[in-house]
Amino acid sequence: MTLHRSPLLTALLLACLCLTAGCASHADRLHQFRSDFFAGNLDQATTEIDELIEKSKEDADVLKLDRAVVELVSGRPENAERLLREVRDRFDYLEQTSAAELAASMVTDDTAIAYAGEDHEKILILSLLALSNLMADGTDATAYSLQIAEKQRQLIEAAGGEEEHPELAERQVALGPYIHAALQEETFTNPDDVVRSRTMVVEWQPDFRDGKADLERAKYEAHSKPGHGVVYVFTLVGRGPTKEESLEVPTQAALLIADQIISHNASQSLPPTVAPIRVPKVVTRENRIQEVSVRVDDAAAGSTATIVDVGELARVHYEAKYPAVIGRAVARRVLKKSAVYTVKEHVNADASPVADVALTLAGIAWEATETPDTRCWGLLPDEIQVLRLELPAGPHKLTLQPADARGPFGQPASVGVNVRDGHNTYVLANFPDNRLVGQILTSEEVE
Amino acid sequence: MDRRVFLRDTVLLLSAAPLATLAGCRGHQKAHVLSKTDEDMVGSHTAGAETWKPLIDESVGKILGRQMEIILPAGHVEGALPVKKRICFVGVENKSSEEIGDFKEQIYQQIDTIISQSDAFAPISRRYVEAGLRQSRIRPDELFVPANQRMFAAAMEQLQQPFDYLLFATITSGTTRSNKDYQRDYMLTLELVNIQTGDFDKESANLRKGYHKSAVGKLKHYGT
Repeated sequence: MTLHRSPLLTALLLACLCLTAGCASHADRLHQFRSDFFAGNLDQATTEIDELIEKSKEDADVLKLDRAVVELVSGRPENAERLLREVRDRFDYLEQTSAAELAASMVTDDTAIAYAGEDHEKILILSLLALSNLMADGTDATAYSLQIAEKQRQLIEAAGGEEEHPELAERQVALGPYIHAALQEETFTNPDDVVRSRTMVVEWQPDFRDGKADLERAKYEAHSKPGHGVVYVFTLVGRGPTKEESLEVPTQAALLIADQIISHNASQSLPPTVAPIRVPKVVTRENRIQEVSVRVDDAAAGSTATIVDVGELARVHYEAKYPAVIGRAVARRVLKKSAVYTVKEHVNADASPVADVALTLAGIAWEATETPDTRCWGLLPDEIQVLRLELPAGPHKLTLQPADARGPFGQPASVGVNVRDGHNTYVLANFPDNRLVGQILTSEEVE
Repeated sequence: MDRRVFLRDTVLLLSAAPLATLAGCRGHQKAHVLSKTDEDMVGSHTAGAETWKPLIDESVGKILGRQMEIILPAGHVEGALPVKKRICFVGVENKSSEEIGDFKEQIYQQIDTIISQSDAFAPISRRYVEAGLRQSRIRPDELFVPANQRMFAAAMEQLQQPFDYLLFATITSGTTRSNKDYQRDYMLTLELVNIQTGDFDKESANLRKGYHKSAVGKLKHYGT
């Protein structure tokens, strides 16, 4: 029997459409609080995230990451650090394979697997932990900065090593060694560590504008001139990547042909692959902000440079994992088709057209229920940027303003910082669009 | 074989294949406290406690032992303790090919602790050393320039922390490769500089480690 006759096929497709409609994906859930966050409605975004955490326990971990970003930009770095640490530990646990969840995912979809975070998210959790800690007391920032490098090493090894994925080794997040260098420089006792870390920054992020100058300075100069201190201005700019649903048409077409070949040769027909194979895809967004211009006491002092390209990082890591996503989707379809085939054999469906059609329909419907796993950290920035400034000790007013190729645009925002002789001061600001969202954080406020 | 049976079996086999890779359950990480007699874990890719601890014990022990003999005055009364010489331990410089990460601070603290337990030497608190370097804006590697040394000594005097010796620790490594296996020789060197006379004493400790991709590699290179 051939199923590819138009009335029956139309009926099957309609059934698929009915079954696939109605379930909100994580991407849908993200939309509202993301809009509120970028519009600067932080209280509203907090309420929405909290409600989602309450409603969908299985997404609680990833939603807590979004909550942590809101806490951080709202000026509560301690809360952000607590949440990020909690999720980091959960993801470490969930990284292990659960046979039960994987088996469940074979008969449902990837959302049956507890979300352990994408690789780029695991690295960025540690990056934001380091930044949050710098904005609080800074006591654990060295540990977090070392963990960033260690985690990347682990992830590259888990993906098959540098030989298999050289692109992962080439595109490592340089924020860890950058922060480590900054912290070591401040101790005055470890110039070798500073040089080593600055070298790593240059190797891992060759496009980082200030990398080579930082390295040269580290080789021959002390932290700062007498009577001066250093201010590190970190900025989170642009709207970061998210995961959205995408149709894997070539794989679906290949499976459909395979169905037909098997159905033609076998005694029973397989449910045809008419339900689209829906997979998540990383989507990056246009970011107008090229840099954030910094004025110190109303005089131009420089502009930030990109040290972490979050969108690029997400894309590279996801591409490395994409074959596995497709592999699981194909395995799932094969399993479902074989289950339907076995039942058809059991009930001798080839002798009963009604049973055959019913089982085929059920098979298609089963396949059509699959939802792509679009869970992701939705409030990431598109880039993390930094500027190092050496300033005379004492209080200063810093004014930050987004800028593109034509110069500064949008609303400037100011903060008072206190620079201590021979010490570092850290500043963090969030510019998802043309204005500051939240407040500018500083480790040394003007008293 | 019947075509029908063959196809059914093939389909079932294909469907079972993904599940065959699924074995495993999540487990919570556990830990236990090591007793003093437990051996240290041996780092599979880099040096760890198994390397640094013996290197520190050996090098610090040797240099302190020799210095005890040197600094005891000629008219020293048996049993009486000499006046402790003050050591300014500047830091540990890593010149090896490995990142030592959080071990660097531990190496510093272990050396500092052993010195503080010595009868002949008293280390200066690291916080003062950092403050002195910060105040004089001198990098540790610039302390061998006499003018810098004097400036640093003056800064320490101001902090009421005069010292007699500067101590530098340096980690180096040498790697010998044989295909995918390699041997790495680690060396911890201590240099003690008398700031009054400019004399210096130096002591090193070595440890060799073999890294293998398999047990066969170990057998091939070391016969064990």
